[in-house]
Formats: sequence, C-alpha cells, structure tokens
Amino acid sequence: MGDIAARLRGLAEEHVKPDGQKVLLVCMSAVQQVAEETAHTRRQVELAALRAQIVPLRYGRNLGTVGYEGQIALLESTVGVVGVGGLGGWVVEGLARMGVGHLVIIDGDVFQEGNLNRQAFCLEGNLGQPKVEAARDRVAAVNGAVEVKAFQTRAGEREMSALLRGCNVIVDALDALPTRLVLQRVASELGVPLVHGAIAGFVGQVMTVFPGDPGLVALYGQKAPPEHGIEMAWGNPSATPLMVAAWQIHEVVKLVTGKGEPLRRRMLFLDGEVGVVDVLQV
Amino acid sequence: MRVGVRLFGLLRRYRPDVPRGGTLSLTLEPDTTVGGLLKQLGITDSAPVVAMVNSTVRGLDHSLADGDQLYLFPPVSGG
Repeated sequence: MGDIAARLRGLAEEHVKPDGQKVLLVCMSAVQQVAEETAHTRRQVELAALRAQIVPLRYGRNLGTVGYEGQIALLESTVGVVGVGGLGGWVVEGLARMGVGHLVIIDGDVFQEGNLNRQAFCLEGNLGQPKVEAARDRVAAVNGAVEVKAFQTRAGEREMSALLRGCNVIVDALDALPTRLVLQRVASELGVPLVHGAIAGFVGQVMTVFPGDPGLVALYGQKAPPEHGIEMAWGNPSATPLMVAAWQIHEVVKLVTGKGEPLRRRMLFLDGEVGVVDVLQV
Repeated sequence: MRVGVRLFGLLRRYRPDVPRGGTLSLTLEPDTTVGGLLKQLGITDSAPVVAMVNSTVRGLDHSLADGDQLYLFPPVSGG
C-alpha cells in the first residue's frame, strides 16, 4: 500500500485551511487512475489515501465530523439495509454518500406508482423494476467505491441470517411488524446492532437495538403483532421517511465510527405535525 | 391518585386542550387500569395504542399507581 500512497501524494493537491493547517486532497479521477495503475479497487485506494492522511476530496466534508479514523472505519464497514422503500432508499443514499464500504441490500418488491411520493429510487421511468436493482444502480452513480450486494427476495429468518452474516450494523427499513421482529432476532443472533425506523403520517420513530436489548419486543410484545401499524390510516407522506432515514443514517455512522451516543434503550419519537421531538426510555 | 399522561401523534386529538409537548395531569380512582384510563380519555375507538407506563409497555389490564408517568402513542410500522 506504500506505493499507492506515494503515487497519490504525487497526484494530490495541497490545500490550506482557514486555520492555516495544510491538508492534501486527492480528487476522484486521481483515485480512479491509481486504482487502475495498481490493480486495486477505488475503495482500497481511498483507504490507502486516508491512512496516509490524504483526503479523498469527496469525503472532505465528512472528515470534520468523523475524522480520518472514522472515515476509514466507514469504508471498511459492511451495513445491511433490509427494505428499500421509503426509509431504505434514503438510508442507502446517505450511507453511500458517507462512504460505507459495503452495502447488503435486501427487498423483494418492485416499484409501483404509489411509491413515487416518497421512495428515493422510484422514478416514473422505472416502475416495475426491482427496488434492489434501482438501489444498486443509484449507489454506483453516487459512489462507485461502494461495493453492493443486492438481493431481491422476501427473505425468511434463515435466509435473512445467511445474507446478513458479516454485517457490522443492520438497518430495519421494513414496513411490517412481524418481519421487523424476525429481523431483530436475526440481528441479535448475529451479534450486531439493529437500527430501527418506522413512519406513519407526520410521525416517525428511531431506536437502536443491541443484541439482548428488548427493543421492538418491549414495544409490541412477543406474540405475532398485526402486520401494520397506524400508517395504513395516516398515510406515508414525502417528508417523514426522509426525517427518519436521516436519523437512521446518523445512528449507523455513530455505531461504525464509535462517535456519539446511539439511541440505545431510547426511542426517538418525531412528531412533525406539531414540531415536537421526544426521547422515550424503552 | 394522580398520574401524568403524554399523548403522541394523532392521539393528541383526544385532548386538544393540552399544549404541545405538555403532560396531562389526571386524578384517577384507585386501581384504575390502562384500559380504564384510555376510556376516560375517550380513546374508545379501535385505534391501536401502545401504552408505556414508567418506560415499560403495559397491557390494558395493568393497574396504575400514584405517580405513574404514561406515554400513549400509536404503533408505527410504515417504511
């Protein structure tokens, strides 16, 4: 990797920050060039750059928040996103932009016209396309360094567990309570935190469930719950998934980088209608 | 006995007099259950409610105690 760093240093540009500190920046085309020259992936070249304190320009605005170590951790991480609808689409978009190195994306559905009001990857021109395909294409367009595994399946417990093995964090972006409880069990058995998000009308909730935490069981019980919550009556307008997905992205970033405090045993309840945000101890 | 109740989401419509983010202070008969409290608040339609009493979710038959703090919110599961 030393030769990669040396090559990058040759292509990097020095930038003087307002505080007088000098930083070496390397642009995407230089990263691509070095990747081709040295037969490495872009992700590997970006990692080599960060380890040599050279900033890939595309992550420049991340670094003040997560630092070199945090950006390296993000690029080395694998995050599973289960459900690529209203929440999952924006979550995938945000994680790709943050530079999460590997995404495992699972969803069995295809886009329908009713998804157009809120789902990030749903376009007039791709109705009928599997959601995971659109997600993979979007990630490739947003951040070609991210490695994506996409599975179009309504996975049961065993399959979900097999597909998500190796993930450092799993995001619950599903839309049915029974499947959410199954996913919590899978995450717990895999020993990784689960970032839960759910929406209905103007309201949404976010909570991070660590293995062994009661999480959704504390909210809804062990018994098979009704498939849907109140959202069937309250609808799912455009902004609520963005609001909740944004918090979920931050939860993932915090878990991967070790920054901040996750919403563990605390459920964030956002009520956009009156502009009130609460944290409920769970 | 007295309990504090916070209503979340559209459950607020049952007590529009409570200021946003505010806690409703209610005086109840001893041994009032969660279900009884919901009835007193007029939450009698089929709208499902998750009732958290002092940070623990409780069923409708749970008896409340003086000083309990309740959060009533809708089960939310859209994605």
